[in-house]
Amino acid sequence: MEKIKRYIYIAPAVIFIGVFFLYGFFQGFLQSFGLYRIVGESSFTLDYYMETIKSKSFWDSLLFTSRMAVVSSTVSLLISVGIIYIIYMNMERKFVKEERFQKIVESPLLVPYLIASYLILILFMQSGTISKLMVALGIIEDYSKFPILTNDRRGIGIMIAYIWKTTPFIVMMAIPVLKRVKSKWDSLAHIFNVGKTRFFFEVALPLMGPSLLMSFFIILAYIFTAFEVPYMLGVTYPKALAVGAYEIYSRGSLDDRPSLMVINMIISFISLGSGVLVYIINKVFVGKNKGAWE
Amino acid sequence: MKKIKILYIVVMILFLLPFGALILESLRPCTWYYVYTDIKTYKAIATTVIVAVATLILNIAIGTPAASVLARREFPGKKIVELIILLPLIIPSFVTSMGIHFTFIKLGLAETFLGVTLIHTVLTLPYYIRSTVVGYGTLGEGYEMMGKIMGASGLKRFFYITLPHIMPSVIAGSSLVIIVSFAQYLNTLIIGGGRIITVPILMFPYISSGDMGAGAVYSFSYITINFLLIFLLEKSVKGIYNKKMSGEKLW
Amino acid sequence: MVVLEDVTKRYEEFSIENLNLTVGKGEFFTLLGGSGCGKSTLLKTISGIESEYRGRIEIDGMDIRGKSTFETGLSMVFQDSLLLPNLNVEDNVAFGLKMKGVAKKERLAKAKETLEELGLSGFEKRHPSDLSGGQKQRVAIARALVMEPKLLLMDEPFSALDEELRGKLQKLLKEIQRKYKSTVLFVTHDRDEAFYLSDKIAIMDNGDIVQTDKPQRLYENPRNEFVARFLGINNIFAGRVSEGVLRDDKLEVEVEGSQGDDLVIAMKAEDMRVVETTAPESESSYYMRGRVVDISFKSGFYHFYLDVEGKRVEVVQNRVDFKVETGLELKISYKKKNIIYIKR
Repeated sequence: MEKIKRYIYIAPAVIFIGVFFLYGFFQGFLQSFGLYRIVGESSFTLDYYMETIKSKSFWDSLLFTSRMAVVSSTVSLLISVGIIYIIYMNMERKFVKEERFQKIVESPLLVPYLIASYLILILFMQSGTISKLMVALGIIEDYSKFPILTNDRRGIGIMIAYIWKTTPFIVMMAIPVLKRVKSKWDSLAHIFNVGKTRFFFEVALPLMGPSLLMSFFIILAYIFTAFEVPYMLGVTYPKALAVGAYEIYSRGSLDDRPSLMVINMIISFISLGSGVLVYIINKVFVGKNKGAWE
Repeated sequence: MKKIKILYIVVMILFLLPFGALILESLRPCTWYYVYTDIKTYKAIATTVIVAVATLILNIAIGTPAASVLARREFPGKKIVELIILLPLIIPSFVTSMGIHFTFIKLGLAETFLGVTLIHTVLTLPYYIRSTVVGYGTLGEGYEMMGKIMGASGLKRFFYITLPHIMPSVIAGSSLVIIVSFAQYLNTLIIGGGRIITVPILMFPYISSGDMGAGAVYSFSYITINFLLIFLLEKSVKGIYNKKMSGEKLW
Repeated sequence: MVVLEDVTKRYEEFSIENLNLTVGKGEFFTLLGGSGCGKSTLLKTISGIESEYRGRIEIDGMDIRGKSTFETGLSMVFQDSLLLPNLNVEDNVAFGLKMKGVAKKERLAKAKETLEELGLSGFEKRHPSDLSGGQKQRVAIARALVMEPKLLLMDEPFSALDEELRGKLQKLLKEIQRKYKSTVLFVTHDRDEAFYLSDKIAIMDNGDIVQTDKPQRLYENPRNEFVARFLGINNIFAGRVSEGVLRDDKLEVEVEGSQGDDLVIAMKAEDMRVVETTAPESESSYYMRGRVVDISFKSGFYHFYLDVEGKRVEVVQNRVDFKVETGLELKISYKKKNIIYIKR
């Protein structure tokens, strides 16, 4: 009886996710091959995949999305390391109240991406807050002189929004590791006379490496597949992959479904691939060196 | 020394700039009046809350037993189960929503509260289960077994032994469920079809155009409620821990 | 060489008050005590990891207050080897030298030499995750020794290792210390380890040093009951002397003492023997009568526990010529000269 109880407890969750999530994904998977059509004949075909691979707009979209994701994630990571560094120095020298600083840096986490995009929009758009401020201070003549940072071809507004939202995530994930590293390795640092900055870059940072790397790939995958930010802060062309998918969904006909699903599948597999990477990093680094983080 | 302090202040200001812009732009009493005298606002709020609460109830019902087993027992296929539960976090949610939409239409679930709740639940379950697993993880089996030996029934054991112990994790997971449900846009739009209007959906036209009136008011309200939720959460979790420490009865 | 003068430090569970300690150059000095007695805290204070204290601590004539470990010339090995996982063995060993600013070639050469001393030649390029617990500790010791410290501090370095390994590393440490005449300040709770390695032992209890002496002398002259019991001497009796006999409740022991003296004495279990009640008594020994209540056999020795007039007496011997069973009435023989007088 005890044995079966286990499965009974687990079953609802597994069935629920199986039915309402996996089934949907599976449907999309099949539809991308031309099966399970909503209208018309269902037959297995790779045509839709071929079409997509040959489509210029797909590659432009893919390139744009990739560049946006890689640049945002990388800049975010670099800024995060900088912020973790100053948080570390603050732990030692107490320039500002640690808790307050941390709360402020982590505040963007409480804002959903939709609203975050809005905030960046009103801040940086040509008729936005910064522009108005600069006009009021006389730095520029009028708002038309303000650079175009939102809804721009390079996706600068998008990147700012992502950096604002993802840096706190990386920092938040790394700080507990930093604290553990500090408490465990402090004595060693004292005995071997390791300076504060040296300690950070030669001891703490390498030990935080895996955590930072995992956060990097989590963010990379997220940005790659996300919809809201590029939808609000992007331009008509090139579109982010998720935005392109949505447009086909809402404006395209049912005939276009398979093509839509092809894009969805490609997005999903890139995301899954990133997930696998994160898992491997976790296994290889964190597992092997468990002692160092305890 | 003081000079370095400026660096910290600059960083803090940079992070707070977007909030600052929001506060500035939402200083329009007329717009506040406009938004809050509109019946649509209240309908949207009600809808959002109903969906979130329903999602939470489903989460607790389905997720808690699953968490209790995952945290403490082994069984063949456990890794696969853990993977399945993790999948909604890895695969983009709209892929599933788009994929399952047609089936929902056939089942009559499209454009219904139930349909939207179901999709919200499947997206939030991983968060709830992960959080509750942590809570069960520190409980171990010993306490419950002790209760069994002393003759307490299953239900009693749950309420007096298990529940108090996992409460902080349950609260943390629940707030995450609510926050994630509140924030859903695309999935609600796809499944709800524009008939189920939650706050994000109501807000969208304003915020996507950079409207500095209603958009700001809605955003400000939304963020405030989010902050309040987190604040309440921290208070209650801390409160439970403090009570535990001083040995008080929890109820 | 190391002098502690009136060192005072308040901690949560205990406080160290006006502690005085001297370690000679080239001496292997051990702080021995149970958990919470303050030995680790004292070590951390000497090393500078804990910087709040009152009093004076000198290493080689220099006051260590506020000085770096390079200035004071000390190095340390911890219970956890604390090897950096992102560096290989030779880089780990050379780590301290790198911090000191020694050039790469030189510090790696020195690291190689020290690794050889520790029996780890050929391990240079390996990574900590490939090493066993014992090997990791040897690397940690190498890392500390390569600094050529004036004083080597060791905080229970072998406590986390299994017994066999511990023995091997203790032997290795002793050899190295003898060879280089290093001054070592060692902390442990393991009595046997302390006795094997040390030139001098300070027994600590609750923040105080109860007795400091050479191992052998500690055992022969424990200052009080705590030390006696700590060293494993469990037969402790207290009472008044009357006609050359000390009476502890109903138990009687023949002692050297004047009439009316109040004494506390200890009798080592190894100094006594169990004898059959029918066996002939010898001239030079005295006897007690008791009944066997427990027997155990540990590490090649018999431990007999007898009830003598209500008191529990332990007798340890490695061989016995007759069968001993619980419930058996026996005589315990002892010699007056083996009695240890703790308090007169």
